[in-house]
Amino acid sequence: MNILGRDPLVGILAIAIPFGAITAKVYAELIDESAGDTYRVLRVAGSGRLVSLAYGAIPNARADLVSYAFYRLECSLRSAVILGMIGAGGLGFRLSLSFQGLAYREMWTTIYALIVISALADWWGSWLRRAPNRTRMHISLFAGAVLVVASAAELRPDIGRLFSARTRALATDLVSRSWPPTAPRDGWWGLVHRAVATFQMSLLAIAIAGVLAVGVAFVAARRGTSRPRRLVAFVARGLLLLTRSIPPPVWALLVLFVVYPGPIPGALALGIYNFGILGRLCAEVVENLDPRPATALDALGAHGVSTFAYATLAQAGTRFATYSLYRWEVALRETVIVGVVGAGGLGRLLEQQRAAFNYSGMFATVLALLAASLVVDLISTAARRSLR
Amino acid sequence: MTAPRSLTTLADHEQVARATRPTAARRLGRVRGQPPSARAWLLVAVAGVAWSLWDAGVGRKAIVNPGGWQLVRRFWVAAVHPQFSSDFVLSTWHDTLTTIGFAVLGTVLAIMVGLVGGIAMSETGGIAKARVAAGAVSDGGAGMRIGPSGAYRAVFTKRCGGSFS
Repeated sequence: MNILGRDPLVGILAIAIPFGAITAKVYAELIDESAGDTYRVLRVAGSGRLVSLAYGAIPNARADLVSYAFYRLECSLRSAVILGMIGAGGLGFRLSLSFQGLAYREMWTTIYALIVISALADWWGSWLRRAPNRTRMHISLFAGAVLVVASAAELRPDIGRLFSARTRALATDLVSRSWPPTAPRDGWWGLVHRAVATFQMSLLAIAIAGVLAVGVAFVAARRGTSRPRRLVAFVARGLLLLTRSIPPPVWALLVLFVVYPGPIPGALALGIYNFGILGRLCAEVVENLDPRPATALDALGAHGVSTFAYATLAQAGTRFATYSLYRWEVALRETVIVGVVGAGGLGRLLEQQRAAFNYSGMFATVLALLAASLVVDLISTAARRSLR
Repeated sequence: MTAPRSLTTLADHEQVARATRPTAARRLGRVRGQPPSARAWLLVAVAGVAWSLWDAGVGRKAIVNPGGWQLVRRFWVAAVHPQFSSDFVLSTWHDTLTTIGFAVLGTVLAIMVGLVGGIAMSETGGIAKARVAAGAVSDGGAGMRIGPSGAYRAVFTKRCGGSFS
């Protein structure tokens, strides 16, 4: 934002850069997976690599590539709201303005709008995944194209700005002012201490989210046969949608009403938000479980609790743990956005340094955050390996 | 056309992609001793949570500010009667379009980067092969098409990795 000024381009790039990297990795894998015999035949017949991929691999992977794109759209919506809270405009910005004025009724109008668009994106994605046939693909691609044109007309990002001389000068200036990284006022040990607090915040958040999500996942899964069970499942899914539609900074501000500042309010806010996301992933795990072990145990006359423990939980447990670990890595990065509103840790420091234009301090804080996320990634990878 | 995928399968792909970052790849290559069991990890997790709670001062100092409940209650009560005046609904509509605009353009740019990057990163000899093998190892080869060398490596690392450190 400091380099490009207040242009919509900033928000778009802030979403596209991190998501582009992970999308590239996932796409590479999907393409490799589908580069089968057709691709090899084309290669042997002497066509180039790109041509062979275009005709031999990408058509096979198309359904998955499009599904993943819609999954990304759901994530982008959540990011766009958070970016809005930082100042990019839109619903996030409106939400933080209303909160500052303690205008709760206005806040709820915005929250309902958020719930509607998250539910729509959610529904669109699952509609496509359920039956990725030609008609649905074409309708979705057409609707997507309309949305892109409409969005460009609405935001009018100034692409020329990316390459202007002023941008280059500001970028050079920013780099020179960021180097070398400097310690915050309480020294390098203070920075380490905050990094540890951030780590703890993410750990508590994921513990809260994991316990709640596993509990609700079995209720929220679309497996009910009786009418009351289906109703309860619907309510549970609504709860999950609500908790993940309200962005974490709003949860943090709400929690800060009743909890004194520190890592605990941040952990609670992130715990509630990730409960919504993790609960949905876990509910889908439950829906996709192989029903045969449970049926077999039932037929053998096993008690309901034992059936649940040995058939359902035994199958789902590993997946639950894997998803919790995966969300933990994300939660560590999310501590920054709850830190911005005063929930403690590195995020709060980063916000203070940003307000003071202390770029070299910010650089050091970002390095500390990087180190903390590396530690989390290493632990998570090791844990996932032994859970396999 | 491939079989329809669930959201969780897509999330799995992301995990496989994430698990194969350089650091993870290095770890997979350097196997030392048996990895700790799931139970050991559970103990570590419980200990970690207890340590974090203690450090945050839970049970040692006041955490909850009872005066704030009134404000929280007011927030939730407002859920029943949100602001539906025509001006506000109109501006909310514009804000919604802005948010959707950011999300859509951000996603499209990410997909373009993803397609170009994905094609560049796929099937590039050694890196791609190692990645597929590592993916098969990290995810039990969930529906992955792996070449003979990949399968060999996956089985080798899984079966013998522990004893050949």
